[in-house]
Amino acid sequence: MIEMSPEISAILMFAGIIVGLWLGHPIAFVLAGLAAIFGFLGWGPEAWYMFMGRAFDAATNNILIAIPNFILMASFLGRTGISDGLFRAMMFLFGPMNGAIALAVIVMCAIEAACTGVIGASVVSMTILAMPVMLKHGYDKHLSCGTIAAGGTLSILIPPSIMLVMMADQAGVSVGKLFAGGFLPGLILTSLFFIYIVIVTRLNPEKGPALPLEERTGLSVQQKIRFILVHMVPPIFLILGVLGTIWTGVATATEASGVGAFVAFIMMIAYGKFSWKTLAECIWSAARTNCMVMAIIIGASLFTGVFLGLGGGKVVTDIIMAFDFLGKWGMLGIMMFIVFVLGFLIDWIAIVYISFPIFLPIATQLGFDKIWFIILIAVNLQMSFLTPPVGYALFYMKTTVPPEVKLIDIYRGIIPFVIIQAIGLMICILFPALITYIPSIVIR
Amino acid sequence: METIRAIVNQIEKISEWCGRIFSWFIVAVILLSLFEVFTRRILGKPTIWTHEVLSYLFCGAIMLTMGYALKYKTHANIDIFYERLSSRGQAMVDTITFIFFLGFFSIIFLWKGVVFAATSWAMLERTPSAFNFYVFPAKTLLPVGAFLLLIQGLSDFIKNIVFLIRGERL
Repeated sequence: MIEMSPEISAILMFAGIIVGLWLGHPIAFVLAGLAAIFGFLGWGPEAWYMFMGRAFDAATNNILIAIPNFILMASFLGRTGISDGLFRAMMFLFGPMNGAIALAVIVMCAIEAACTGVIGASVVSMTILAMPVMLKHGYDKHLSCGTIAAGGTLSILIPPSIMLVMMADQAGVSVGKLFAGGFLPGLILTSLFFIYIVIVTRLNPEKGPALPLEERTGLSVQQKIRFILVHMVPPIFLILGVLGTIWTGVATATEASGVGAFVAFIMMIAYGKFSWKTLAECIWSAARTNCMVMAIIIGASLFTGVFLGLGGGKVVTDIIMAFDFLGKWGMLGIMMFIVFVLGFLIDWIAIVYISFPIFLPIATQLGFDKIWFIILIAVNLQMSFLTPPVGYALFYMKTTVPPEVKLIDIYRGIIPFVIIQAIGLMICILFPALITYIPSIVIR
Repeated sequence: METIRAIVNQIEKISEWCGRIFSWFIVAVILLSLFEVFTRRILGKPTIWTHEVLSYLFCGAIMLTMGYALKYKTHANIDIFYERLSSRGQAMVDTITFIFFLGFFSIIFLWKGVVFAATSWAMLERTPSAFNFYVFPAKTLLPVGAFLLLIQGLSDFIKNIVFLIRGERL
């Protein structure tokens, strides 16, 4: 055992995360490994006994069961090929406008976001689906990358979302209420992205031209409307099925996630995409992703246990309290700034697990509404998906972009969208009712 | 050398098959959720055992796929600097990080997990719910998961060591 001041241990633990992550080791085991090392340094081997209880609580948590269900639901939906039809439907809808394809991507991402709750799926599928089309039509690379990456992050804010499930569990609030809270902010971000693309492509039409006339004609208006409706119905059905059952109090979020996965499975059959091989592949890949997410949750939970135990929480609290001359809004600003900066350096699950036990008591003390504060963090974390070096949307995109798109194009492309997300966060801070109204009318 | 190759192959087989089989626990979770909705909401006759069985299955789906997910390198990592290293450099970094993080943690987790599960077996601990079922099936999954994680980690570790010494991939 080594005597470490809480300040030193807090700094060393964070430094450990950064070193471990940047050496390419899996995030989950960097967190868990650091917990094992610092737990030992701080208290000796007794520290490790706490690990089992924490890991067991996470692995048998009835709320978190929604996570594999939502992952599997996304996996089934991906196989139905609905995205393909939806994308074409959206192109018909926005065809005559400048930036048509980018607008189609944003709206599609919002619809997909309301069907699924995981980020990887929609970034990857949109990159494969829309990126080649955008490049072919001479869209600006930066705009294309930014649009898809930013649109993909909506999945994690617009309910259902596995991030909100975790946050609800950590904060001890109802999943349904958080889902309700994330709804309007998600729509606001979608609208802001949409408006941005409209403005940019109006000012510089060469960055994102409208669809050429020959691609828009061929179908009559009626056929187009029919096509759009046909492809809008199944996702809306699914959204109502999942969110409707939660908000009207018919089912818990966990049950609704199970129902959602089942409905997505039925849709896969209805679209003629079922085979035992496809089913097995969906399940295997969902199981791996679930294991990955849960391993990070366990790792982050152990890390936080040790971090708080060694006094790290108090160190962070003192830093925030040092700014109390700025008033409660200043302290809110500091907390949001910390989350934003952490978003560059560490993974979002770790941020949720480390920041919640420290920030929520402060927020409560300052008299902020709990759901409002949590959703602010959720909106804030949207940026963490886009900010390098640790930004999931960027990783997923990097592995699927065509070779002519370089990493630097992705980095440049996301800058305006991160600024828009910051504006979205400001709007949510200035108009709290945007977050708090819907949760106040749903049953759970 | 052949022995090492055989051991590594055996481990990968265990990881693969455990993963493929126990992934289906997620399907069981979904079906059970549907059953729960049906019995509780539609028939109005909830069953007392679903809550525990759901969480035990969930625990199994996580723990028994630990080696499988590691084998497929599903675990999220930051490769922005890592990918610029030579393959030798990567193998060296992996070896070192394994010792400090994954390896160290999974040994601790296995050791404490055995104690954790054994305690539950010894006292035949039960859940404090209406179902009042035994806890040990779920608690035993933790050391088993740690074991699967550790052997798959060791398999990758051995492969890296062989690569560093002999320059060949197993």
